[in-house]
Amino acid sequence: MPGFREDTVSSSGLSKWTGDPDDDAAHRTILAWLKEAVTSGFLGPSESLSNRMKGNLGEFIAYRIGRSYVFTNVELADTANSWDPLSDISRPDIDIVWLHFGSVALEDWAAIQEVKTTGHSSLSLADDLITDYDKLFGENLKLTLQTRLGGLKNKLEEKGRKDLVPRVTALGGPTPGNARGIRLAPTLLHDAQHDSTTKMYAVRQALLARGWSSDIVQCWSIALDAIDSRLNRIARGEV
Amino acid sequence: MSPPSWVDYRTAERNAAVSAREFTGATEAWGTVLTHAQAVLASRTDTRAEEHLDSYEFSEWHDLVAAARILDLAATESGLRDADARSTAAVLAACAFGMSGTAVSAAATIESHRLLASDLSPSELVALALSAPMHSSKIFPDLGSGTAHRSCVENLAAFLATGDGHQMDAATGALDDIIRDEPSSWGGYLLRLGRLSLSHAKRLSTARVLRAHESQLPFRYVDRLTDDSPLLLPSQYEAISRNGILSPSTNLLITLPTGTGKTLLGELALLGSLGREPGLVCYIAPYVALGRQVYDKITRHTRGTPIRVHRLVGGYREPVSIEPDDGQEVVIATPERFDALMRIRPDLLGSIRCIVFDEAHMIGNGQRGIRLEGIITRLRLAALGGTDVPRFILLSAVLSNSDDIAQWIGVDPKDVIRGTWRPSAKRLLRWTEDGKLRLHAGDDPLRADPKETLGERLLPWPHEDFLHSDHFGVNRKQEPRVLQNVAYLARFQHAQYRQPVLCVCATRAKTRHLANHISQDFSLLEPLPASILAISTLIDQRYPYLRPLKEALHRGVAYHNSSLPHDVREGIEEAVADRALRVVTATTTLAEGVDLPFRVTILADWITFDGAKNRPMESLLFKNIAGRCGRAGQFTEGDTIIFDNPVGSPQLTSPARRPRLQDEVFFADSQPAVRSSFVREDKQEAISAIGSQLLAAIGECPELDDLSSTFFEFSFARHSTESSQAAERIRLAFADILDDSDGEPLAIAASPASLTEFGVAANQGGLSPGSARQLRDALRELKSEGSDREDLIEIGVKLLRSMGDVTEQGNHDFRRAVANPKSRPAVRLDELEQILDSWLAGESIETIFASLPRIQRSRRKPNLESWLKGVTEDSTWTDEFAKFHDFVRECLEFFLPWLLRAAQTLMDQEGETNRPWRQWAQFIEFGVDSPWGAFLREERVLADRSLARLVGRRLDQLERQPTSKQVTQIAQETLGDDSQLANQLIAWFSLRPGVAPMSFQSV
Repeated sequence: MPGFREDTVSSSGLSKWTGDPDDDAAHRTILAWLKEAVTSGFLGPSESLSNRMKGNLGEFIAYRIGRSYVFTNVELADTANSWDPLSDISRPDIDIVWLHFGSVALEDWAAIQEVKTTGHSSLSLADDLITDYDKLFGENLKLTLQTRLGGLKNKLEEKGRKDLVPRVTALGGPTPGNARGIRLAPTLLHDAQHDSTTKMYAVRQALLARGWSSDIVQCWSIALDAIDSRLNRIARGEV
Repeated sequence: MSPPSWVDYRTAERNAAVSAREFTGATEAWGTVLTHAQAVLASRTDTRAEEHLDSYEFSEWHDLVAAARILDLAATESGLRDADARSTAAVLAACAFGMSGTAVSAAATIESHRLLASDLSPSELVALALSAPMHSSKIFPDLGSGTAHRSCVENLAAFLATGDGHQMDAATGALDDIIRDEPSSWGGYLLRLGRLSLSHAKRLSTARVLRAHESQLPFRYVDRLTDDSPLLLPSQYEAISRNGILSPSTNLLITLPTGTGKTLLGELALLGSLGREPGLVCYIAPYVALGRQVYDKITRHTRGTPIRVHRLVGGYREPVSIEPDDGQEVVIATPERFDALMRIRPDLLGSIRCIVFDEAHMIGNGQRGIRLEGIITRLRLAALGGTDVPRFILLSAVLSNSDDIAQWIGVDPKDVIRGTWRPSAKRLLRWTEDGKLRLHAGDDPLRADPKETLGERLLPWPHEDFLHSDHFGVNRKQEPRVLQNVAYLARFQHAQYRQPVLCVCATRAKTRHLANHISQDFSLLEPLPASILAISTLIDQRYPYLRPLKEALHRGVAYHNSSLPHDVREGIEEAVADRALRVVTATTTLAEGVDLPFRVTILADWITFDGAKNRPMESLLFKNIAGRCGRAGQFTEGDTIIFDNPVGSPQLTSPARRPRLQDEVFFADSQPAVRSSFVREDKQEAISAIGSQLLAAIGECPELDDLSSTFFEFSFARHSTESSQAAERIRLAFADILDDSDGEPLAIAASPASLTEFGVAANQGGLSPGSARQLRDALRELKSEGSDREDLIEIGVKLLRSMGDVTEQGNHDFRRAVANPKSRPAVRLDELEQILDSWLAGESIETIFASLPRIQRSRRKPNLESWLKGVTEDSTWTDEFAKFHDFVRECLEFFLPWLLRAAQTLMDQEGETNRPWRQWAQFIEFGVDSPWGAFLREERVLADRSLARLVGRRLDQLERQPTSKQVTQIAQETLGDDSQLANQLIAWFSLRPGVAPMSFQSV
């Protein structure tokens, strides 16, 4: 499928997403996705994205990439802010959760994808991914893994899959190192001008230092050129 | 469904308990601890909620209880660092308590964190309503009209009121809708948890459960009870659904932990036995405060029904009018009053359908224990004579040998209710001389080893290096330093929780001294809470000598002991109930059997004096005291801290012995067994008290052969290992009754034995055989036959002098005065006349005390006048006065009236009718020489004796029933035109047309 291309740096735990064949193709793909999703219309010609909207749109892009290219066979995908990406409301929740059930419970997993979007050259916003994942086992109970999984169980029931609910409980663990069925996909959407490799390695290392196992942390970087201007155009429905 | 295998909720709960107290010993950070708790909650939502409700056996719920405790502890100020995170944890804690079926704890969490006043989403509000359904009617007005959120909570509120399953179905449907539409993970998660809470509400609804039995209960009772208690506790539900509480003939033994709703079960059993037919049921409460609580509740629950509720408190005296043939009668009585009821109205015996004995372990408690055991034995014996035996319900939190007791009263093993449900966490801590405050497992059901140390913190004693000595002077000298240590701990605990702390002391003097020490470092309360202001004003107006108490009260500290005037004590109890006080120091009496909101109990003394020697506190008493903090519905946790008091005999306090002795009391694996008082008491005193019970049994079982042996066979003592000793004591007591060496036996040893006329009279008086003879002899020696006030004083003095050493007279100091006039008791025999004269004149106790020549002559500093006006520092006058107050309470208000009432029956039998003994008893008991005055005191219309006398005397002068105009005039002239008291008096009369004392005749 045209639009995006994954360039996985082998055994580094970093997936780099770029436009395929170029960023204009990615732009058109995002616009097509967005037309399906927006309920309250695009921004007006003179309007521009707020930071919150930018974050929601970044989350939306990551979600659609995941659904289209990576997590194509999951039972459930749940996203906090992607349903209405141009809304100026952002819910304080884990951004995206992908729920997969294997043929046996041991093959089940949930991928937790936190997404940050920045046009800044420093890419320092990626550091917030570390604190976002800390919250999974943190003291704010609204943002913990267990709370998020609890919300997902409701969604499974709504889908008529009550049978899978107990398997969701089994995914967690007392600490990052013992959370058997949890995978992480920390994601940075940034300007292609700035190489995120170093920053995302640093993020990954910090997560490993917190006990997450190396085989379950797969960072994503999604690079688009002139990202600020491109996202604003996308939000206005412009090519 | 079990939690995932990686969940270790016990360790997590331990870590939370330790971290929240800022102790060392936690092995996991809060984040991990919370993860364990959330995983437990998650696992409980994976299957249908109803599948979890097969049993309320507490062990089935340990995981959820642990999770709820963890979240609750995280929400405390010393828990999570961030205030918002704490608030979130509190919401989830409430949900977890709701999931565990402990809605009262969910409610306590909601209250203590003021969650309903915080900014919550509609889904959070719904989740709280599901967790604490009793709050649902408070919550639904805050939810948008016409929304599913509102519909859910409204239907829940309606269901609680009616028990109508359609409303529960509607609430459940609305909850499903909300869950489906909830956008946030947090909201969806909470609501998901709420399903289990809602299932508990459905099951535990008082209305739903009791509507099924409505025809067995008095008309409208279920409505009233539901208004007051919309939800049953799990322990109550189990008892009702599985143990035939409402079955009118099943005897039950209910041994549930403190705070798990025994009293309501007793009430239900009582009213279930009464049903809608005329009859009599009785509730025996050994503590006045407990009896008051039961009376208030049953009165509230039966308002608007034809049921008459009588509260019989105080000492041995004749009953009020009870007519079980014509109406539905409920009696709430002390054992003494119930004993009198049985003796004076034996016709009632066959009408008693059910009798509840609360705090049934009291059968092992001295003279009162003998009376209780005797009453139960007599009721069982009466059945042999054809009298319908009532249904027995025994309640206790601390009975370990329940099988023995069950066998005794004929309770089928399946009808012994041994619930293990605990609504709040009861923690046990010990503060030892090495400066360590340690948290132990105690009898927490989540832990196996009571002695296990869960965590500790360093908290050095401000004063160390105590001597272990038998020498009174050495110990006394060390006492201030000991009390300063305890005071430090009390302040520390209050600073930690900002909730009331109770310090239990061995003596009244210590309660005073400790309160003084504690208050010194507390700031003044500003503004002064209304309940404290009320006591302060009372002290200013009536008890200026209590100025040290007033000073302490203004700093939020009070002492509470039997030497305080009744109204002051009640005021302090109200202030504790309002949580207006920071710390209360008290003797064990406040700690036993009452329901006051203390977060922490500190045991300042673990050694007590039993009247003969010092010894470690009884384990049974300790268990009872320890159960008092952290009351269900008020708190979710209660800490009992043992202060490792090192002062006292080396036999008890030496470093080598102290830990072992304390462990035996505080870490006993099981509750100590209750033993019959027939064998526990001093031999002579036991025989005397058993004799009184046997005397009654003869009257009640006129057909029974070999009463002595049968009485033994039917007694609890029969089931003890010392049964031969009990049999011997019963035999000796019976022989004493039959003793005809003075030509006047109390009973004749035919087969069956029968009471003589003297025996009948003695029995109605309620005294032991020996005391009855002594009273008869004393009365015969009276020279005057007059019936005026002076005669009463003269006879009162003679009776106190001649009868002051009998076992029924409980004031040891006065016994000493009678036995050895040269001793230096608080009241001397030559002062009795003056005391009685002033007492009847309505003078205040402190005025009577201060008027005694011996007291006036004293050169003690500060002088008497200063003390009476109120000195700030503690004074030895206070100790002296406390002893005098004891004499008044025990001898004048209790013992002498008993003698005078007994004299009435003895003199009736002797044909002497010219003295108004019963009225005299009334005068002495209420300390007023006016029929109306005594009556107004008895009815608690006027507490002040001098005012009661003033008003009473005016009313006595009227020749007929006072008109409302006369009452108004007298009230205004004596109490002030617009005074509150005058208005109360007028209002009281207006509600009771035709009310009058037993006689208008004044003396």
